[in-house]
Amino acid sequence: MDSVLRAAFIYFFLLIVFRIAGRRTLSEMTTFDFVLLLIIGEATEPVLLGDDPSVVHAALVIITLLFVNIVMSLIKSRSKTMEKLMDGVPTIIVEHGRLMQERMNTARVSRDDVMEAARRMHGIERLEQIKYAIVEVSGGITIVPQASA
Amino acid sequence: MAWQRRTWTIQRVGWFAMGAVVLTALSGVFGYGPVSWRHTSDPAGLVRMEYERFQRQGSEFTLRVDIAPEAITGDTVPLRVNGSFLEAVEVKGIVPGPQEARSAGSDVEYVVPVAQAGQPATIRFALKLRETGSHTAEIGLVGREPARFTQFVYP
Repeated sequence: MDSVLRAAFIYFFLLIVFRIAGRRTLSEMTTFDFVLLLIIGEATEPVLLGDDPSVVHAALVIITLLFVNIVMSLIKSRSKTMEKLMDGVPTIIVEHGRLMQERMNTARVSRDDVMEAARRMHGIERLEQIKYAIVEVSGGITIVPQASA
Repeated sequence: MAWQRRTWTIQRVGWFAMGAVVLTALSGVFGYGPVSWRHTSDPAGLVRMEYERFQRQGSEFTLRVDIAPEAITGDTVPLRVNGSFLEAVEVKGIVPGPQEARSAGSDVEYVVPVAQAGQPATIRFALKLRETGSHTAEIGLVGREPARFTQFVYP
C-alpha cells in the first residue's frame, strides 16, 4: 500500500512542480540543466526505493532546486552579463565555407561533426555550401546554409 | 491564448509559493532549524532536555538530557522513558550506556552510571524516528514528575 501511495504522490508532485516551473526550465537543455535533472532524479529515488522514507524531505529538495533554477533564469533574463556568465555564448566556427580551426580546436569540434550536422539538417554535402556553423549554448551545432544553395 | 495567460498567472503564484516553502524550510518548520530547536525541563528543574520540535520520518537525531547535580546522589541515575515514545522511535544507542534497563509497565527505566555524585550529568540518546505524526516523550527521574515534549514527525 505504502509503495503505491508514495509513487502516486511523487508522480503528481513532480507533475505539478514541473508545470509551475514552466516550459523554459528544462526544455532548452544546457549541460547544467541536464545535471539538474539528474540530481532531481537522484533526490526522488530514495523515497521510491531506498533507505530514506521521508517524502517531505524529497519534496523540499526538489522544490529548492527548481526554485533556485527559476530565480537564476529570472536573473539571466534581466542581465545579459549573468546570462553569458552562466550559459556561455554561442561560437561561430564556420564562416562562408571557411573553417575557423583555432576556435574549433578549443570548442573540441571536428570537421566531421560540422559536416554531420550539415547533412542532417540541410542535406549539405560540401563545406562551401555552409554560410555559418555555430556551436550553440546547449552544445548542438546549428548550420546556416549559403543563400544560393 | 486565454488559457496560456491563466497558466502564466498560476505559474507566477506557484513561484512565490515555492519561494515561501523554501523560506519556511530554512526556518526549520519542516525539521532542523531555529524554529525546531527547543528545550524543556521537568517541573522540579532537575532534568533538562534539548529536542527538535519538527522531524522527518527516518531521520536520526540526538536527544540530550541534562541532569542537575542535586539529582545525582549515588553512582547511578535512574531515568524513566515512556513506552509510547519508545514505540515511535528506535533507540540506536545511549551514551553513557546504561548499567541496566528494566521494564516498568510499558515504560522502561534506564540505570545510567555517573562518575561522581553531586556533579551534573549529561545523557545522550541516539534516536531514529520511525513513526510519522505527533508523539509525546516523557523522560524523568524515577519517582518524580517527568519532563515532557511533543514532537511532530513529517512523513
